[in-house]
Amino acid sequence: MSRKRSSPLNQRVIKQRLAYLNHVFTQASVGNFSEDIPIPGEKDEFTELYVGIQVMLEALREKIAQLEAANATLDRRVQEKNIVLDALTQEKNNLAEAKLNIEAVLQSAGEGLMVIDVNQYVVIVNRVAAAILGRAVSTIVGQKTAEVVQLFDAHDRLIPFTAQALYRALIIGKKVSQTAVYCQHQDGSRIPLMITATPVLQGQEIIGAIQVIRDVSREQELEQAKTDFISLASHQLRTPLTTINWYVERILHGKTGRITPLQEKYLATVHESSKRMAQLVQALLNVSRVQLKTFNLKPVTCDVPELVESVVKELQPQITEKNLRLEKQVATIQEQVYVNPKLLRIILQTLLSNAIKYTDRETGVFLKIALQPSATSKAETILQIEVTDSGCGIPQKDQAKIFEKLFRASNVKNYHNDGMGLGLYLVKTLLEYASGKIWFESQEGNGSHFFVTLPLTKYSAVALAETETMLS
Amino acid sequence: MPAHSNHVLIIEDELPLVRVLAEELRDHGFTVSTASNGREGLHIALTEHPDLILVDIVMPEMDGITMLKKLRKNSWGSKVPVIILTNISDAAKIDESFDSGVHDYIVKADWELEDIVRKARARLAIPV
Repeated sequence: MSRKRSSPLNQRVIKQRLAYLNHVFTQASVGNFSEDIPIPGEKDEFTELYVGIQVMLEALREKIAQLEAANATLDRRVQEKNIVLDALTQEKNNLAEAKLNIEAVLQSAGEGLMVIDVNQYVVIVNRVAAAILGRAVSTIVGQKTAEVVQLFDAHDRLIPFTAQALYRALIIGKKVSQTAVYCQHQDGSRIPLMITATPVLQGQEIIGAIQVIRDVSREQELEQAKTDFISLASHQLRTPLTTINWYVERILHGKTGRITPLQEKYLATVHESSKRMAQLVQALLNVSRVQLKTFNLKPVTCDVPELVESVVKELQPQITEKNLRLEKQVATIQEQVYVNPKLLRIILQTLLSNAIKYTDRETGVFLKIALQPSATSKAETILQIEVTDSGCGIPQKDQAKIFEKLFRASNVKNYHNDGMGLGLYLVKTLLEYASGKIWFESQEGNGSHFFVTLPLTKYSAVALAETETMLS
Repeated sequence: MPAHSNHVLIIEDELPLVRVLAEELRDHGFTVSTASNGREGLHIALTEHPDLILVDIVMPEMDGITMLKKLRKNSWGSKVPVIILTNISDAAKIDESFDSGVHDYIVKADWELEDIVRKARARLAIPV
């Protein structure tokens, strides 16, 4: 045992040793482990204790150093995390700002906008759309679309959501437009809308749909105003012409006393010009109606041969005046056919009066009317009209433009100054709406041969109802 | 021919037209009454019971279609023949008048006086 080998310590040395220990522990208690403990040169009772303490001190120093290093690493990591966090916060703010911007843009848009997700819930709606639908934005967002967007057709019937443009855009993945739809406002009034719905795609996948809702009340009012104006102009322009016609007619018929041959000749010219003016007004009105799409093409039962006769009768004075032969080959029509008589009259009048006007004196004009079964529909039959003349023909260079509005072929405009270049334009445009066709074969100096095909509806009232539409 | 089957009522706001048409009809032996709007026309129709009514569509106070609808509610008025005189070649308006029991229509600017006389005669079955 070491104690046996060492000499006993005196009181003073023990005190000294203990004081030093006290010093070391005091330092350690405030975290200072840097001071070594002096191991006495000569082994005594304290030596082992001192060595033990020194070993402990050194171990502590090492642990502290390790801890400090770990701390430093942690600090560095925390710092790095903070940088990432700052960046994330910034990004979040940017996103929030971007969302606000998008919302601001959507909210400021003049049109109503609504975005739905693939499950048909409303994701975004702007104030304009909410106002059109007569609801608050907050009562729309998050709702099932079918419950918040109630649309009606022109007959006040509720349009099921599955028949709405938005749903169809979502399902078929294509842009879908819908007009003649209405929503009901809180005051009970119906607002006419035009809706365009487009799918929202992420790559190939449909993730929702967006619809633009436009209140078209104003446009409808304007359309109505235009139509009203045409009606009014029609009435106002034609009334004085009628007055002129009827008074001149009475003078010409000797109802106001005898007139001289010269007076009669002059008055006949006045009468003719005034009637022509009435026809020009009618042609202009027809063109306006076609452009405004207010020309009514509703088919009704029509006696085609009788209508042909009445058009020919109207043109008889010009036929007689040029000493023309009019050859007619009009098919007997057994079944009842539906056609708009005004449309058929315009076609016949235009083609025949052109043929008569541009053919040479003492030649012939040929009119053929036939019916042919339709290749596409059993409820339809095709009316074929052919008008052939042996007149001046249409120069090759003008042929492409002959159906243009206000166009007149170069070889006729200097000799016949009474054409307006409206007839064929009107016929072509009307035929397009009526699913008909017009074409021609012509050679300058060798006459023209015009062809028209016009699908007519046979019997069935159902088919009639389907075609009973204004141009649109 | 009974004396009372040739009474024509013209309802038309364009007075020069009324005058010339009335003169023409009188020249052909018709008795003619005239009115310049639907309200007056309806009153004359219901008190004088003409055999034929020629009525314009666009008129002040009461238009021809409204007049016609009111006329058709009267037991005598439900049967009297009516021909529309118009310069509106608006098919919708003309259809509407046919729904109210119109027998024929004349687009004034396209027709001569003698055609109207012929039409009136035919409607009243008066031999030429």
